[in-house]
Amino acid sequence: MNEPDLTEYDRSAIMFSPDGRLMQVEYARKSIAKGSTTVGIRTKNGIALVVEKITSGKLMVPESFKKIFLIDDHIGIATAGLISDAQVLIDIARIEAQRNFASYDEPIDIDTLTKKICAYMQSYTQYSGMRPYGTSLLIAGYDKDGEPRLFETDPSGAMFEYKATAIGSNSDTSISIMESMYEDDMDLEDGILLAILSLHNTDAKTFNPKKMEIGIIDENSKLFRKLSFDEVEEYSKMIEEMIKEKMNEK
Amino acid sequence: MKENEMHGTTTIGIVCQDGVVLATDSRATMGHMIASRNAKKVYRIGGRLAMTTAGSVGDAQQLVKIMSIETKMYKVSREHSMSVKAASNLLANVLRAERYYQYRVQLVLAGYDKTGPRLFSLDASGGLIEDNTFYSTGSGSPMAFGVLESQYAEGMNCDEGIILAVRALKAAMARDSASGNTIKVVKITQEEYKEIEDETIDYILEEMA
Repeated sequence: MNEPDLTEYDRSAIMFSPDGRLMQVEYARKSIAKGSTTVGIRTKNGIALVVEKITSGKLMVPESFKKIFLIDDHIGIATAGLISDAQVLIDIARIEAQRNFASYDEPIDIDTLTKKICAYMQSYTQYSGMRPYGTSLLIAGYDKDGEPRLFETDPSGAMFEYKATAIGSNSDTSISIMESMYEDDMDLEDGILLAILSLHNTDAKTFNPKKMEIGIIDENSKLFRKLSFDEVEEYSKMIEEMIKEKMNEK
Repeated sequence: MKENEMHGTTTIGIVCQDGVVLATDSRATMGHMIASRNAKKVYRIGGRLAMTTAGSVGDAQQLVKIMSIETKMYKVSREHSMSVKAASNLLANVLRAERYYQYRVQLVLAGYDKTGPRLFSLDASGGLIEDNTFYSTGSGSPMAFGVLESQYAEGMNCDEGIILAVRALKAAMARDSASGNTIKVVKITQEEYKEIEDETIDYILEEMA
């Protein structure tokens, strides 16, 4: 007998292959791995989300599309993968946050929101005629009790919590850089710099702030906000200086 | 059930040169009973926007909730705040949609946006009227209007507006049994949304005496 042909089982999102895989979900992960890199890092006094956007051509306006979104005062989401799919999930996240507020008069907790989004994404792997979301999200924010949380979602509807992680193309490189340099007691400022550094290979000498998007939430305000272009530029200059110093030491 | 309504109230909105002033009493009544001596009747809905409520407490609170959520959703997706005109139009649509089973309220919605200080009054059937001077709602409004009509001056600033609001409320609270207890005042300018401290209001009242 021949081995079963797996390609017969990838036509529908909801059909298992004989060896127990959902091929469409695996293909969705591949679409995420093709896009830009998105990094999230949780520190003792805040969380940072950093994205390096891929722009097509000199004439494109890089600010015209976004990868980091404000969901509620205390939550931000960074995306990797299909932007169009992501935007639908962003809308759902915003509505869920406000629905929680309407029902309970309190801000939604980060894990609650993540579970809601994941339950929604999961349904696209179980009902016929559906295609899974080709998007992964990093969901960052502060819970009511003051705890910083950082979650990642997967097209299957699975969720994971991290101290620091990356999604999208070359995310393995970013993760290994952060694994070697992450410290539990680092502050937000260091976290932002490490996230930027992890997005580029350490040999990079210049950074293009126009392509970078940074969103932060700090312990004091507990308000998520996007950094302005000037602030992003300042961070990229800081990191260029640091690398220059390192090179001179060598 | 009519008894369950906040008939008795005085709310005031004043358009000033540098912002708007909103003021209310703090008495909630059920018939002849004072249901609360510390009722909240000015609600912030987003950054530079607030509304005063008169009428059914439950109806008013539901509208405040709807408006808080709508302005938040608007802001997170469009990255700028809803204008006062847009907010009041939306609120009028909500009221109008329930034309045949009305929210029993009289509202003043005011704030500061790109166009400056703006003030709108709304009725239960969705009627929306902009006023560029002042407005008052509730059972104490005839007394308040009397003071406002005679003492409002075009181009007055928020500090003068606060004093006028306190004066008008004082008159209403003196003659309307359903308005009373303490005075709450909010000032909205380009720079800030500020709830005026009780001590400041006490001082203004003492100076008037």
